[in-house]
Amino acid sequence: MNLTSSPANGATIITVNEARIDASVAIQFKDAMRAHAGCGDGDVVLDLGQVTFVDSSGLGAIVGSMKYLDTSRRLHLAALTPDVDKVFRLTRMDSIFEIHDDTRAFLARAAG
Amino acid sequence: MVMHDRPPTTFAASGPATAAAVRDLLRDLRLWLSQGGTPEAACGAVEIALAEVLNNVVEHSYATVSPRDPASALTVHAARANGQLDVHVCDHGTPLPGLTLPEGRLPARDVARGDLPEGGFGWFLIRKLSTRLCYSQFDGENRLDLCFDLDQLAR
Repeated sequence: MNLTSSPANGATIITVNEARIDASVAIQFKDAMRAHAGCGDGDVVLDLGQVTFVDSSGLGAIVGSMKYLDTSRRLHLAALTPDVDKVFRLTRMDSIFEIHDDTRAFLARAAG
Repeated sequence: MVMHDRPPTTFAASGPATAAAVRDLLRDLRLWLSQGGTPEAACGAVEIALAEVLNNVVEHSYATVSPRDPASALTVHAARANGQLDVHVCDHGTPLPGLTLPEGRLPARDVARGDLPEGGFGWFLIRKLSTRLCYSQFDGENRLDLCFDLDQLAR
């Protein structure tokens, strides 16, 4: 599971360099998220711009990743592609996360 | 690859009960739908629902029993006509509990962060996106018939 991360304005941006977060990689995704989010502080922004498909196992893994973070740290989602957006909206899990058009929108808001 | 003047209106595929095989099957089905002119939004909705159906087969039907023919543990047939898509998914694993389809209620979200649901969305998504669902069990075969309104899903 190819994830990359970088610090930005006190937050950590984690980019998923994969086309799918599905049942076949859900566990690897959670493990990689733990490694990248670490035990630091500050919010985490998950950049899903390259992800075209998430099934319910992938959705569960994203929720699980949020639950792993300290309660003071929020998990933001950025750059949802159409089918990924559909899964979040249909399950109403879009209300659980702060969702941004892209990581620049998050950073602009964080700076403002 | 055979090129057709008109894309075929039926699709058939089978594979082992593995997450990797489900991925391949979904990719092939989506390609078939897309080449038949199905709008991307409807292709996505069908893929979301069928991913849940096929993952259920892998994770539940074959959780405790082995397929009698591993190479074709699950089969998918689909036919498209007049804006409608009919899909049949078959397996030879454990029948659904009580031989009935789960209700598929959305899990509660008004809970503490540590209690947020990490699963239980599958049947909700399947029911939400399909217009008709029918489960039957005969001679060791589980069969799920699904119907999708492609025009509606494209909106």
